[in-house]
Amino acid sequence: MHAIEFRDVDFSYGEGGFRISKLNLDVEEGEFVAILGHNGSGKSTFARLANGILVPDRGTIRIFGVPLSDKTLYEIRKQVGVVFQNPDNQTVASIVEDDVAFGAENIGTPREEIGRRIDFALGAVGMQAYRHATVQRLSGGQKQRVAVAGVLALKPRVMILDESTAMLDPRGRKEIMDVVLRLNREEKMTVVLITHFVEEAMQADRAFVMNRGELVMQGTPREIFSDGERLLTFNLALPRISVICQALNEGGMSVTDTLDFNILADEIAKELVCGS
Amino acid sequence: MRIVAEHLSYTYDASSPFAARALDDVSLTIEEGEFFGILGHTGSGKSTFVQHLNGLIRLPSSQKRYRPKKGQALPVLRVGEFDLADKKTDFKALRKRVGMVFQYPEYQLFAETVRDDVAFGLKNFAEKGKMPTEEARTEAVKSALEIVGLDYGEVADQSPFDLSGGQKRRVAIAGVIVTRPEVLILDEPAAGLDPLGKKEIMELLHRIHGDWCKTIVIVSHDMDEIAENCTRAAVFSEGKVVMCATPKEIFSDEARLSALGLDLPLVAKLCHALRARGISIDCDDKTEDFVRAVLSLKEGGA
Repeated sequence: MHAIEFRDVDFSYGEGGFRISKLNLDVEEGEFVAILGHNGSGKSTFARLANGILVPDRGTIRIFGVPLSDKTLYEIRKQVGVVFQNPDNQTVASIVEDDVAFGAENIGTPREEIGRRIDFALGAVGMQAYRHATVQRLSGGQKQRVAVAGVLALKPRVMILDESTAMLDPRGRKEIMDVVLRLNREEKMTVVLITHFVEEAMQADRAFVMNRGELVMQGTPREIFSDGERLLTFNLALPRISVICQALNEGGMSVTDTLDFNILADEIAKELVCGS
Repeated sequence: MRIVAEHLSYTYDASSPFAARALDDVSLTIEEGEFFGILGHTGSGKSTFVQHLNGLIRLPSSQKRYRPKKGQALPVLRVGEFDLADKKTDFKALRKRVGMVFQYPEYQLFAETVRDDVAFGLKNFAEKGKMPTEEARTEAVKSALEIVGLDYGEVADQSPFDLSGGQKRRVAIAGVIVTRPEVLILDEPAAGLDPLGKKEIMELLHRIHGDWCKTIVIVSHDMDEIAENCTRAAVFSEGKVVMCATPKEIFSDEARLSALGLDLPLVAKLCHALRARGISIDCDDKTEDFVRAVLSLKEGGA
């Protein structure tokens, strides 16, 4: 069964505004998918459509086979959790456990069950020690982990991260990525990661590229990043290592395009030694 | 304007149980004309340090009730001719010449049109009775927008909130440089932008650097950004400056950086990997230099 299924989805932000047209896209259950695209390509709109924050003009969206409609909206929101970009905009309570409980309380979870879910969610993001801490005094990465825990407390089957690491420092980014990878591998959670960071996208099973509201490329991250010329036409920058490979080849060497610096070093070394 | 800091210390919430030492005896000199980088983890004291540079955080000795204690080394902070340790310093004049672009500056846009937003600094910093004329303001706004890569005719009358993320950030930067500060400090100028947006921001900083703003200081978590752009950099850790040198020197000390939990830029990683394979390569940690160095090794060998 598809976890997320978009069929001919059209959406526009009013006359002349940005639009998504004829979007067809499937995310399988248990999959880890990355979505790439320049700012304004429609990535965030996709996230907002997938859990019913926005309603499509035409087309169907199904979550685990259930069509998204007014009647199913609340059920579907429990299944699709979204973590947004800014850690400071996603916390509502001043104490960590209250913040994590907020969503679960809202959907009427019984009290004892909420306690268990807080335990589970804080454990999953490695923040048990901060249960009674003040949210305001946490680092960006810690706040964002609390935001992830708040979504986990709803027991969703799909988690969408909309540039959730963009405002974090490298250490904070790694904290979030570790949590997400563990949820995907151990809890079999379906993950959709919207990101600009190549090294994050590389960890996904599949990647989609969006451009002007359309899905323009899909494949394994390796396939996508090896097609540098097409990426450029969608206003995406090449990974720095691909730029180096290209420049070396233009200068008369022949190294294979790779994303691993050790492999590139091997290739350069081989060529320099053979050349002499 | 040369920036000289000596024995700078700062503690947040000093008299509370949450007291946190953010700067611990920091001494650092940034020469006029540099494109200087400041590196370090969150909480290492980077932002606290740069906030000192235009007086957002004041030295104790510049505050009214300050009484020096005996036998204590007095902190020194000079930016050009301004002595920031002195109570009598004109902080408004200082701030006009030391521009500060905070993280996510686009959240600070507020006016109805791009023109008004960029012009705000001009009015705000005008001395009494010396408000620039309408024409002078328009001229200044126009050139500031142009140098950040925006078309005046196209955006001047738009609401800044209708622009894209990268454009908004450029408007915010224009609003700071419009008063022609000599020193421009930017806290993570490229964070949160897509790769192309990042590239545009760094290009615009190089356009500004020199004639427009003599000295540029950027705070960044991105090692590649520091390696590609900066003349020198300082690494902060737990409130101290632990390294201060050219990017090449800093990134050659792999062991030290990894002990600090910091990554290397890609080019430095490649150079280390090549040396481990018995190839002696010597270049700056910039993409272009690396490519040039490898190609010349190839030619030399052939």
